[in-house]
Amino acid sequence: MAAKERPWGLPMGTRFASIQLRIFLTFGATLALALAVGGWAVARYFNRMTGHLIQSQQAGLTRMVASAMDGKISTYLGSLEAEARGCPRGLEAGGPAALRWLEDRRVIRSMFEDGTYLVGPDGQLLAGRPGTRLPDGQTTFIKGLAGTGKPGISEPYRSATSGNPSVLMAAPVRDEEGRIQLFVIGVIDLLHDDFLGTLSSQQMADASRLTLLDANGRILLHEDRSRLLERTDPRRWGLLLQAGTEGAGEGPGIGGNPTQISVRRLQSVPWVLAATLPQSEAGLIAHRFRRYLQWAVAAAVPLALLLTWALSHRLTENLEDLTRQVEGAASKDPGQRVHLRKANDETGLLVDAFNGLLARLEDKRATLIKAQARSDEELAVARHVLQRLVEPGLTALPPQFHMETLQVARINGDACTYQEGPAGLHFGLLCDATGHGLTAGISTLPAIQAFLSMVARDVPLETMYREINQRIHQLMPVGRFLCLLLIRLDLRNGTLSVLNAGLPDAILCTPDEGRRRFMSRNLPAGILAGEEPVIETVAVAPGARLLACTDGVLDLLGTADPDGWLLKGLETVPLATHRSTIQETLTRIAGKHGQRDDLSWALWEVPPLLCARIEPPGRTLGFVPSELDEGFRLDLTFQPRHHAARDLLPDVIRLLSDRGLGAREGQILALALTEALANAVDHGLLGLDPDLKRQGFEAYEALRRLHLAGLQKGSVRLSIGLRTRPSGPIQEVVIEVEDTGPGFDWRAWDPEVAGASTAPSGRGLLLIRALSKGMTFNEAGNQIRFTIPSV
Amino acid sequence: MTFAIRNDPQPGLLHLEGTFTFDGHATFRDATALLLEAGGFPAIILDLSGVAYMDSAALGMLLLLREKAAAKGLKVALRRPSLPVAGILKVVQFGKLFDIRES
Repeated sequence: MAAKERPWGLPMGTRFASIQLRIFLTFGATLALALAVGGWAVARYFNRMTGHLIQSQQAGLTRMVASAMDGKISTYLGSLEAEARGCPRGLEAGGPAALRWLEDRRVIRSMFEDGTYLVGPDGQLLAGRPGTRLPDGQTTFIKGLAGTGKPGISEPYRSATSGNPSVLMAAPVRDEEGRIQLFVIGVIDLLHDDFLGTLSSQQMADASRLTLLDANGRILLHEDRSRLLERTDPRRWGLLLQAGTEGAGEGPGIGGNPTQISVRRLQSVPWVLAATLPQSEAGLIAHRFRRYLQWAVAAAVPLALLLTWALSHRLTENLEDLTRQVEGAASKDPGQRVHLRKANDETGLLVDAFNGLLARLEDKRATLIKAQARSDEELAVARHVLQRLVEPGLTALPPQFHMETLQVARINGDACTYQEGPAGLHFGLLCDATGHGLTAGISTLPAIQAFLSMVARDVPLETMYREINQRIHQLMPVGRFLCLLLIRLDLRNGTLSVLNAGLPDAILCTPDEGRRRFMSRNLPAGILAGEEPVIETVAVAPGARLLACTDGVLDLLGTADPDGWLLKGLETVPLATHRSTIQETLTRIAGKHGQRDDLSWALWEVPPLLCARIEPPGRTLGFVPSELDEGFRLDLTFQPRHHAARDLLPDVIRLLSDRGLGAREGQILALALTEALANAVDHGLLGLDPDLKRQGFEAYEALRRLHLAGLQKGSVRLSIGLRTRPSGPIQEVVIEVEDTGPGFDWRAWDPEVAGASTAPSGRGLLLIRALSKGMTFNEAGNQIRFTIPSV
Repeated sequence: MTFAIRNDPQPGLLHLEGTFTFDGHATFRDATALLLEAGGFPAIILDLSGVAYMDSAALGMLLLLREKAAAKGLKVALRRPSLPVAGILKVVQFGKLFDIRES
């Protein structure tokens, strides 16, 4: 399933936070919170302020109405007092004078519509309008008032006629001596419009009410007439009345609803005027304001968010544009440049810096492409050289043998090749160099060259390994080495020799003895100089199958090939089927998982053995023992870097002459030694190509001097034996010349070809062979032995 | 024994003396180069009667001279080789490549 992509190519799971989104969330949330908190604070402040304002207005109304009531009461009482001061003395009870005086008092009669009276200090009614009588229970008030001698107002009572709360106002009339003769009494209905009725209906709001209470907590004025003169709830009013407090506050209203209350005491009477306003009414404005504010905040928050989004976009659009272009630049031609329409901020600096980086990147890329092309070309050359080396062998593979290397795009250091040796011998090489690319490729070249040059001479595997090890050790820097597997199959005697140096186990499967592993018992070549190899040799029969591979194969199939793809049917299936299985498996798995390393493998099936042993053709190997005595032997070893052979020869010849060597033999010996020593030094140690002489002996000598100067080690051993018959003259001179070089393929040297050649080189051996007898070489080809007979 | 080359009044004739080995290549090169430049004779004749012996390097020099001379349309002839040298020339079958005469 394809992975989902996040913006700007970020894969899922990568934490991504857009700068614009972060700005929006940060400032948007802050703004929204500020609006909400601000709205709440404003609403709360407005609520409190309107509460105070309403409370203040309520207190003012209460104060004004109480003051007006005080004024009314004082006016009414003052009018009585004024009339009382003009009252004639000596009015008799029930007399016409008293009644007439009362009748003439139109002012107080109009004010006290419920009645005016003249009452004695003992409460006796002296005069009154016909049909009226002093309310019951007011005699005590008159008597009490007589004791004080002051005008006064009675406690409210329910009028028998109107049922409304009414009071008596009394003003004393005194004689000349100051004694109270009588009282002028006025009865007034508290609800009378001219008295307190109109004042009690004042309202601050629809639900606001005024309540007048007397000192006993009875309701004197109230909207609900049925509650008049009813005692109020002491829980609501008692504490306030008893404390005598004035002021405003909140308390439970009727029904227990929160109510705003303002209380004012009247000055003229011990009454209390209270104004009430339910909080629901008092907070109506604040409630409406809060609701409007909520709507406003609700509308402002999205608007603020929208504004924040637009602002954040405005602030980050350059950055976003730059980001997208930079992202695009990664997948486009680096020649393109980033361009912003309005890069008038820091992004402009970023664009300049990025474009500068792109320019430098383009330069680097061009350099890299050139280097890559050069590297590819070098690799192609290396691959070509490698193929030229191994192809001849691989194309000559017998049908029972299969070897191949599946290379990745770049050389990874694998190589394999095959070479048929002298009749009945087959040699194989698998190698895997450390590293990759050109270095790995060239690491295999000296090994393959050494292998191919030695196979034709049937050089033992030990010598091959030593030579390859020596070359790799000399040529490659420390840390570079070559894992290799050398195979030698001898069909003459039915033996298989394997030298494994660092490669996976090679597996031999024989029909009778099962499987045998050839594990690595040697260091890879190039690590240690002078390493002595371990070789395993086993007898094999026709049909036995050997399987070997490099580590790339096991890496591809899994360590140790757990599924056994390599070994499936090793014993049972035909060779061609087995080979196809391995090829198809490697191709399939490499195609599926990708090939990371070269894959080299070999599958050999032992063909029928040869019937008879075949000797090497032509030239001999080894020395024939002589029957003569070796009366004198000279062994001389020298390093050509310090001693030239031509400087040593006169002394050697002279020494031998002193020992009885004839002049003629000496002359022949000198020529033969000159050739043998020149070969040992020039070709054996210095590795000079004889064909260089075609370019002139000057060039050859110059190169020879150069190689000689760079020769770190290497020596030539000269051994000369003078053989005589017992007590007889010298019969023959036996010469051995050996160098420490890798030797040469003496089997490939043909005297007929050398003699017929017109090349300016290659005649040294021809001369030695002509001048001596029994010219032989050792197996490695770095030692020559010949005999010069006495003339 | 040193190696030397002596010119002869006869155009194209050189007398070689001493041991003709690798060490004598510079002397041989210089002497033969003069002859090749001068020209005016049908063949370069090398008198080997004074050469005690020669090695394979000397044989190579003779072959190089043969190539250069052929390029200029000249032949190379070897005259009066000493016994050892004659043996060497016979071994390497130079008779097929050079006109070798005992006199």
